[in-house]
Amino acid sequence: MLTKEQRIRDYEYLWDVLHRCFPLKGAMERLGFDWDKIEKECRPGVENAADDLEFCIALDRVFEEFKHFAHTNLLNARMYENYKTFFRSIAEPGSEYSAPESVEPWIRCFGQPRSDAFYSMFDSTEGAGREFYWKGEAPEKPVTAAHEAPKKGEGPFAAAFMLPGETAYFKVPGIPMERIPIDRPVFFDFYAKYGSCENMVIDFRGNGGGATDYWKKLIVEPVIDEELVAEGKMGFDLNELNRDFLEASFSEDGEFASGVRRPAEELLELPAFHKEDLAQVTEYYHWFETYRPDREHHFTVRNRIWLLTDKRVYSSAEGFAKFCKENGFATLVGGTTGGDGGSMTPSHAILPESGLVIRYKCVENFNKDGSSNAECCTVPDIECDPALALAECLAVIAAERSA
Amino acid sequence: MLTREQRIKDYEYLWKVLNSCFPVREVMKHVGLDWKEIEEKCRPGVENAADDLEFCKAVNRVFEEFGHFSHSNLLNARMFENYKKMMNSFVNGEMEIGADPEGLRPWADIFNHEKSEQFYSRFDSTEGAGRDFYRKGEAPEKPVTAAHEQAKAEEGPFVYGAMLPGRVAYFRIPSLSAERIPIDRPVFFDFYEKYRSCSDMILDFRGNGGGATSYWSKLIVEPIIPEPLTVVSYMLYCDSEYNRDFVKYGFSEEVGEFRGEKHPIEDLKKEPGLPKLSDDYLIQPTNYYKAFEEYKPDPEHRFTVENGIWMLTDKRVYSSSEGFAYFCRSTGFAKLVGETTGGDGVGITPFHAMLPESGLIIRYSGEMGLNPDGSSNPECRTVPDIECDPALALAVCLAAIAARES
Repeated sequence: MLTKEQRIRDYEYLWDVLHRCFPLKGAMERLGFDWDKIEKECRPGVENAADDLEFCIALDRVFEEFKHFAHTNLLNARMYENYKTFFRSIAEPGSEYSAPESVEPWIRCFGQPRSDAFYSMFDSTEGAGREFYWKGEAPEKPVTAAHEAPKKGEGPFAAAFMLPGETAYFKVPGIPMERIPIDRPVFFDFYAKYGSCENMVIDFRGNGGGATDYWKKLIVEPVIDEELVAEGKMGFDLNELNRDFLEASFSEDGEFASGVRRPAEELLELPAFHKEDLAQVTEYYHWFETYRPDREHHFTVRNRIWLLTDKRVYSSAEGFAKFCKENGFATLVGGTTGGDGGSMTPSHAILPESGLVIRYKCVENFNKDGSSNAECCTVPDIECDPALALAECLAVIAAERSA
Repeated sequence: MLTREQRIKDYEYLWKVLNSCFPVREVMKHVGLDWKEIEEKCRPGVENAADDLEFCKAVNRVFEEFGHFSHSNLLNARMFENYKKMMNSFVNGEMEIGADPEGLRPWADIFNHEKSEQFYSRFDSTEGAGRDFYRKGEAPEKPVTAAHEQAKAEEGPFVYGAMLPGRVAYFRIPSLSAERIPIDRPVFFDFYEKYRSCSDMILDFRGNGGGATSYWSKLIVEPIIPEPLTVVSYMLYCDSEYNRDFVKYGFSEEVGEFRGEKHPIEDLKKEPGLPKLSDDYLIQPTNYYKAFEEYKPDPEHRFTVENGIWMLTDKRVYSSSEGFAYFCRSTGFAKLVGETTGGDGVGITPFHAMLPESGLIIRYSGEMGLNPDGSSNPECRTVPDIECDPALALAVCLAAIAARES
């Protein structure tokens, strides 16, 4: 069991990582979060924890107070095991991941003897969810909605339909990497069968993210006629705690292989950039991503593409929303998204005494106007009750056709 | 505070009412719910309750064990206040019900006992109480949830109507609440006036837990049907000293919600066209009501549907929404797409009973309705013509329309 001094050291290390590597304090303050208050309020729970379980729960409270803003989490045993497997698998030859050679810094965060030993005390079954339980004490995980069944079984996640007026409709509830080979036929068989449509509606409502390659390979590249170069900016302060992650991402094998590092002061030229964010952002990376038409699986959209969104659109699903809006790829209909997408894979840090692993974004991702994407998210072109987004979208299509 | 003897008296009265008036005991066995077991399981909580709050929770447990099957509930303070207001509004003609207000007299009267008023006054009746019992002032704050719930608090219509590609009229109907009828009426009638006709009509009832039958009969069915329609339904009930007024008024030719005929239960097997009528349905009820519901075309608000009408369903379609699913299935008015419904929509407004010592009020369906094939509606519910993940029901429906067109 950790001593009080060890717990305090881990707690202070945690806050050191957040202050130096999680450049979203300014964005969070604008949304009403007070880091100093959270640090003070959570400290007693850490100091006075009766055992290691209480310590974990006390630490986790920091991230609950953060409302897990921008992918911040304390990994419990289930998440630890899942990520350990995940990062190793995407580095394997033949994986769907587009940057397997850059995964090493993430892999190194999992499998350290201290972490393995500490996490081995806790329950890693599905029933643990995001919580900490002693081994064997997590509840049974109930099966929930029908559409969750395919997660466990073999069926595809996505569904495709041709609707009246030659409107292609795709329901895409999630874009996890492991679904790419399973969902690919849903898209490609549809494209092969129909060849074209008048309008394409892509329903991302409820889609919490997964892999950028899912939407890049299965949606964008089959649809575009010419190369498209997207760009973006991510702010950070490089230091010894996050160097490996940033350099791997920006390397020629990395997620963002094409780009340049620039001084943060240039961000002041963007109309919606907040000057106070320079306290944590000392430079930014201006990246470029090329999307190349997939001629083999081409699908023509004669009129428009539409993306349905709600507040659960997050992470790489948000990345698609941002891509659509900033590049004119699709008209967004529905509710403002959940934000924090279109930037690098979240980083990790290992707390030195316990070996617990935290997760967080080590960059601040900017919208085109300089606003913080995690803070401002993506606002749809046509805002409406997300429950009605499909009907609203189709009604607009009908009105345009009859005009 | 109630004495132990008083609590036991109320508990035993509760079970007398259920056994004599709630005609689904045998059907609930089909879904694994045994009344005797539940009665024995919940009794200690009632007997040993430390105070009246614990007593209420212990009685409530019966209905939680029932899974609130067939509208069965113990009303908490919030529900007591809401129903009292609603039932009195119906009887006073302040709210549209689509039936003779006098027919609901027993429903209003049961809420006007001082004993109930006094007992409920000690518990929290704010929105945050939900269905649970809390001492006054102790219920949590009710969080604001989905956007459409804002409409409950504000004045805007609940329903949404739009014309989609292919001249498909689409209506999203989240609720059939009676107080929304005058507010939602213009959405339907203005749409009918504007467009006059469509190729197909989709009625999205997913998530719709019910309200008033007159919502759908007046705003949807009667503007569309070209000729009068009569729908026959069978409601099995118990005629008992504990529900006599409800039976007398509810199944009354003069003031009841439905015109019809009362029959002894033994005659039910002679009725034609009920292949799935099970013998155990007939054990508890004493009678059945053969109801004839007439729908007459509304000459002032016409709307033509050239091809098909479709109803989107999920398991939350219940009560008078389920009534609409039943109507669609038995008349062929619409094809159903989605998930099997929640059931219990063939019948009249649920009955109430007052526990004599506390004044607590319970609610339950006073009849068991049959599906067109004779199966139990609360048990078997309505299975869609096209079954699919309800989240995809709109797309599946539109795709079926597109496939037909091509």
